[in-house]
Amino acid sequence: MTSLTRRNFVVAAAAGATLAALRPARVFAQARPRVVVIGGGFGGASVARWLRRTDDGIDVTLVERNARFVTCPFSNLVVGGQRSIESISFGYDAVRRAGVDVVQDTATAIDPVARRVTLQGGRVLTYDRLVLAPGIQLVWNGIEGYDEAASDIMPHAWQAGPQTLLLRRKLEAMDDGGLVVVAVPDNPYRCPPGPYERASLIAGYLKANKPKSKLIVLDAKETFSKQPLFQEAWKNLYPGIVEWRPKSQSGRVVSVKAREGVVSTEFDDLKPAVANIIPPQRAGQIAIALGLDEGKGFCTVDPRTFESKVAPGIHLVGDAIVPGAMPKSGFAANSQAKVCARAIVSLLRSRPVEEPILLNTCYSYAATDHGFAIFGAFRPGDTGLIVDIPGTVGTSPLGASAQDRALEARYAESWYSNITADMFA
Amino acid sequence: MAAATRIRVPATARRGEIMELRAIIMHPMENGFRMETNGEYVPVHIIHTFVCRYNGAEVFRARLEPGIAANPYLAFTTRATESGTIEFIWLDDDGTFEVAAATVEVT
Amino acid sequence: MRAAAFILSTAVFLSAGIGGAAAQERDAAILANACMSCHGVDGKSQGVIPALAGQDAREMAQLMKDYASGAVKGTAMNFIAKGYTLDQIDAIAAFFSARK
Ligand SMILES: Cc1cc2nc3c(=O)[nH]c(=O)nc-3n(C[C@H](O)[C@H](O)[C@H](O)COP(=O)(O)OP(=O)(O)OC[C@H]3O[C@@H](n4cnc5c(N)ncnc54)[C@H](O)[C@@H]3O)c2cc1C
Ligand code: HEC
Repeated sequence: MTSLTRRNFVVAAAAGATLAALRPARVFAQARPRVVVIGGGFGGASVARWLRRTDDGIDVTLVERNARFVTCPFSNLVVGGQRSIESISFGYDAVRRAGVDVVQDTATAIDPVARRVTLQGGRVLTYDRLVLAPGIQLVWNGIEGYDEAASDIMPHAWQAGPQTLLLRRKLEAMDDGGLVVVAVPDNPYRCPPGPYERASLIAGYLKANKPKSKLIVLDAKETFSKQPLFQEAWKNLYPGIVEWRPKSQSGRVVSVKAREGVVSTEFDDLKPAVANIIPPQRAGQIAIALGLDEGKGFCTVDPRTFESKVAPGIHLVGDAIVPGAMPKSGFAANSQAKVCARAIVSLLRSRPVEEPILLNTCYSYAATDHGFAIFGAFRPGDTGLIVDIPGTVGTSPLGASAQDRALEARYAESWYSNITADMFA
Repeated sequence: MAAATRIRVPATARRGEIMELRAIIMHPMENGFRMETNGEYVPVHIIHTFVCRYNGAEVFRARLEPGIAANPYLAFTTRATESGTIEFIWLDDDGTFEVAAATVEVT
Repeated sequence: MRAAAFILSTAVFLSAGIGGAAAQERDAAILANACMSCHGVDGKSQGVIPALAGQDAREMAQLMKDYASGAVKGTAMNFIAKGYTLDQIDAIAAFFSARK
């Protein structure tokens, strides 16, 4: 009778190590499902941690090319000189201590049939399920003349690290009275309010240190995230410093000549002292190389499992996906990762996949003591995309008191401590 | 109606070169399908024609229809033949028009 | 391969055996985990966002319902609390209440 045998077996299993003793070690090892996660940022580090938190019987390998992760969230405070880069950099020691095998390398090829990942260093990893969280890549020459070499002169600082520091140094080196330009691409790009937060924090630096200077936001769009809140803050905190030019007022940057220092929009040529060019973006190369974006730049996934609609067994989270009503944010990537991790455990353990609710909040600083946010709760929609739950999407109010803005700035700090601890502590 | 326009013409060009010209007008381009809160439709009000003239000779013309978004933007090319003036004209269906012009030096 | 299948089936058997409480905990976890981005893992928060770990479940659930209705004014919670049914709120509150 099988059930009786099973029961006996369970008793043996419950007795602990006896199970391992019953089976040859190699066979036992094979029985542990293996998940490989590529990319150790907001999405990937979170998936790895939450797989282990949900089921420590799963072997998790995290492949990340960098030894340390510098968060884009709060990197605008580094650009503005209000925070150090060390304070936004994290190592993977705690991730390792949590039982994740962290491999510092770059994944170069995936064989979805043999379920194998090849790393630049030559190692080959096999998996039962694969998670890709490679974030974005910048589309070079998406703005004519803006390539990797140009970004040494006109930094994008849209992947935090050396680029963040380069932009900071250029602002520090600029004379009082200089013009700063922040160029914003059309949607979709990572962190919709990010460019305007950056403009605000640079304006704060200019106001205190280089008050004759000016900042122009050149925008390829007509409207932007939390626009009334940013514009209210610019008017109150930085009058005469920040100017925003939408696409219809020749805001869209079409080309740059980095060496000559020229930034051209549809109708104007500007020669700023410091140019921050944020180019168009698409999913990280490893996802594109596999065709998971179907030529569209970002990848469609099932909103309950975050499994690719193209390649079964491969999940994607974070900036690389088409997120429906969610924005491309670190918060969203972390929320998706938690759902993805539980779905993977359910699939590996033959349990039904649960019905999730996802959350997002993008806090922005207009100054270190002036914060506001956009909130939202989301669920899988009938069309297979993530939709917002009615009544949950909204922003901090206009016209709030300085105390209320200061309180939200402190909530933002608390959020940052908690979400980075979720991944890296 | 008086509307803001922006144009872009290269300051200089070599004879025979293909020049890109750009033009935009700030205009609501009301398509006639938008309803006001009182239940009445906002009447159609669009730029219906755009013309570009190079030293008086027409080099580009576009007919615009309801359904084209506000602030229509056009970019097109023409061959540089001689120094002179390039004019851009927008015809509004309220009977008015807008003109903008710039010079190009052809070498 | 046979061994793998066998262990998998015992895992299913085991989880079914634990019964209702564990299943409920699982259901709440899929919802509660999302709160932890702000409130900290297991509701143990750093900084000014309040900790949720070990709070009285009934009080916490009531507060969530008051945030959802607008009876209590906050910032984030007046939007986020609206995303959940009353049953879901009770389950999430029980979940955080049980974290020590
Ligand atoms: C200036 C700025 C400010 C922002 N502020 C906020 C904010 O306040 N709040 C917020 O929620 N979000 C914010 N964001 C957005 C946030 O940074 C992203 O949405 C988030 O990082 C997305 O997570 P991800 O895991 O998809 O990508 P990432 O976090 O970028 O992680 C991707 C990782 O994958 C690695 N990788 C890629 N390919 C490979 C490969 N082949 N092999 C090995 N490793 C690989 C990369 O090295 C990287 O570490 C901001 C972004 C910017 C630019
Ligand atoms: C964006 C960050 C954020 C997220 C996500 C979030 N909260 Fe909150 N929470 C706050 C803040 C900030 C407060 C303080 C009240 C306010 O300003 O809304 C708070 C307060 C609370 C309180 C009151 C605690 C007390 O002691 O006063 C409860 C209960 C609570 N949250 C539960 C939850 C639950 C449950 C979830 C997930 C469904 C959640 N929160 C998600 C930020 C968040």
